[in-house]
Amino acid sequence: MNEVLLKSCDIDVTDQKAAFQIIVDIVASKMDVSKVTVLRSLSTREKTANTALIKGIAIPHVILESDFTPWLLILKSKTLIADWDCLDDSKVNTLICLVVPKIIKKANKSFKKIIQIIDKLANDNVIAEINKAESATEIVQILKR
Amino acid sequence: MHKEISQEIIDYLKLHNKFITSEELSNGLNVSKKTIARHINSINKKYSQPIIVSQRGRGYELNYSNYLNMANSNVHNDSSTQLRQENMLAKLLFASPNDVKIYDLVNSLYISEPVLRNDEKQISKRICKWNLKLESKQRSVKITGNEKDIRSALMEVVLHINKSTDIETLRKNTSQLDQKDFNFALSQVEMALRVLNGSLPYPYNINFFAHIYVLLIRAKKFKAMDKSISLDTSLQTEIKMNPEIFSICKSIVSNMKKYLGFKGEELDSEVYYLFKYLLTSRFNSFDGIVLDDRDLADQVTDFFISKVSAYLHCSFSPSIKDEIKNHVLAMISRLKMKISLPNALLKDIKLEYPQVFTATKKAATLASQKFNLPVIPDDETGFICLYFAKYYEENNKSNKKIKAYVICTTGIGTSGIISTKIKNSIPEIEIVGLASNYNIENIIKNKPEIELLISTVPINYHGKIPVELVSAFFTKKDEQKVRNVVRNIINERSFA
Repeated sequence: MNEVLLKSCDIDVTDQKAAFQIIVDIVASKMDVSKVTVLRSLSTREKTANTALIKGIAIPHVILESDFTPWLLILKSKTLIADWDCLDDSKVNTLICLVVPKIIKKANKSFKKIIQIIDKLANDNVIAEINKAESATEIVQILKR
Repeated sequence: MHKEISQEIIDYLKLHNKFITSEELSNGLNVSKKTIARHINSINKKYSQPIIVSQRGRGYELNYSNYLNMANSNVHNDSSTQLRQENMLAKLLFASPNDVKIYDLVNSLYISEPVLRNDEKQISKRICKWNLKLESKQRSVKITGNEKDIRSALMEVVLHINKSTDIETLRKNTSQLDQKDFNFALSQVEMALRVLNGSLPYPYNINFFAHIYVLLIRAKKFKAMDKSISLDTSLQTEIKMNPEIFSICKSIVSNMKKYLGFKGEELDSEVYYLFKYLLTSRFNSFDGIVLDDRDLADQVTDFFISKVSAYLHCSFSPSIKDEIKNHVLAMISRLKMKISLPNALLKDIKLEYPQVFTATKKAATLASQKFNLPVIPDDETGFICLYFAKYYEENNKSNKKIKAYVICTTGIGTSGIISTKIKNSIPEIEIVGLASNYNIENIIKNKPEIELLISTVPINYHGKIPVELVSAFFTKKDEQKVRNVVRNIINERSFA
C-alpha cells in the first residue's frame, strides 16, 4: 500500500519555478490531468500561504477536482532553491508534495494512512532525520517507518 | 504522611531505647549523616537542657528525663501520644497471646502508670475493629484474639500500612535488626512475581509483602494459623484450577522454613492462607485465575455505574466498565474470604473527591444489600471511587477546555502537522477537528460550540468566532499569539 502512496524523485534545481515544473510533469502524467491544471493548483496554494516549514523542507499541495486516494511526491534537490525561504531562513531543498482531492474522506482507510504520514512531520526528530537524508528514497524510508 | 525529620529522629531514638550510631540513624531515616547532625543540633538548641546526647563511638541517645520535661510542658502533644500508643500496640501484638509486663511498658515508653492505663483504654477501643481484646491485669497486659485477626492488626499497625504506598517506605519503620527479615520477605515477593510472570500493582504488592513479613515474624514466635484450612473443599477446588499459584506459595513457605531453620510441618497450613491471598489479588498478565463470581461481578459493576451516574448527574464512558469490573471481581472474593485490603490513600480520596466518594459509598451500601454481600468497608469503597473520580475529573476538565478547529486548504496537510503541536503546547485547547477552508461555513453551522479557529491560510470568514492566522509550522511566536487569544477567551467566559 505504501508503495502507491509515496513516490520519490531526486532532482537538481536552483529556483522554485523549475521545481514546480518537475512536479507538474510527474503529477499531470500520473493523474491524467492537464499540466496547466496542476501548475495553477500549485501556484494558487503557494500564493495563499508559503508552504515552506523549517530545515529546508516544504510541503506544496496539488489539489484536484476528481476523486482519488491522496499520495505524496517527495523530491530532494542536490542544490538549494535560492528563491524559496523557510521560516527559519534556511533555503528549501526538500519538497514533500501532497496530491489530494478537493473532497477529503477522512474516515477512509487510505486517507487515514496518508494523514498518519503527514502528521509525522510534527515530530522534531523526524524533521531532523529528513534534513540529514541524502536522497528522496531515503526520505521515503523515514516516512514509512 | 511525612513526619518532620526532627520528630522522626526523636521517635526513632525513643523506640530503640539505646545508643544509636549516626550510621544507623542515617540508614533508618534515609537522610545523610550531616542532616542528622544538623537536626539534632537544632533540636538541642531549642531547649534549655539537651534532649539528645551524643557519645563518641556510641552515637546518640535520647535523654529521657529532659525529653519528658519538654514533652510535659507542651500541653497537648497529640502526635507523640499517638505514636506511643502505636508502639505499645505493636509490642502487645507481637507478644500475643503472651502478656507484656507493665514494668517493661512503663520503662521502655517512659510514661507513668496513669498515662499507661489511659493508653490501654484507647488501644482497647481501637482493636475492636479487629475483634481483639485487651486484658489488663495489675502487673501485665495482653491482647488476645485469633491469629488471623492478630495478623491483620499487625499488618496495619506495625508496618503503618495505612500511610505508605510503596514497600521501600516501609523499610523506614523497621529497625536494622529486622532488615534481614524484611529483605527475605521482599525476595519472596520478587520471586513470585518473576515466576508467575505477572505484576502486582498497589495496593496488592504492599499487602502481599506485608502478609509474608508478618507471617515470618509470627512464625519466629511459633505462632501459626488455624490448621483446619487445609480441609476446606472449595479451596481445594481453587487449588486444582490454579496449580501454579499454589506451587509458588508452597515454595515461599518452604524457603521460609529453611530461613528459620524449621524442620517440621508447623508452617504447612500457611501455604493455604498465602494462596487465598494471592488468588484475590489481581495479576495483570496472568490468566490462570478462575473465580466463580464473574457474573455477579458484572451485575454489581453495572449497579455501581448506574447508581453513581445518577447521584453525580454524569454519564461515564462505557470503557469504565472494563476497568471497574476486574476490581469488583477481586473485591467480591476478598469480601467472601474476609481478607481486608487497607487503603493508604483513603483519607486523601475523601478529601479530594468528597462528592464522588459519597456517591460511591451510597452505591456500595445499596449494593451489599441488594446482592447479599458482606458490608463493603470504606477502604474498598475508596478504591472504586478512584475509578469514578478519574473519569469525573476528565469530564469536567473537558467542559472547561476551549473548543477549536484547525484550518488549512486541505484539512489534512498543515492543519494535521500543527494540531499535534498545539495539543502538546497548549493543553487548554481541545481540538475538535481539522477542516479545509472551503468547509468553514458548514462547520460553524453544525458545531455552534466552537470558540476558536486556528488557520494556516488566510480565510474568508467574518463572524463572531476569533480567528488566529499562524505559520505552517506553528513557531514559538505563533504559540504565544494563540496563548493570548486563549487567555482572552477564558477571561471573557468568566464574565459571561
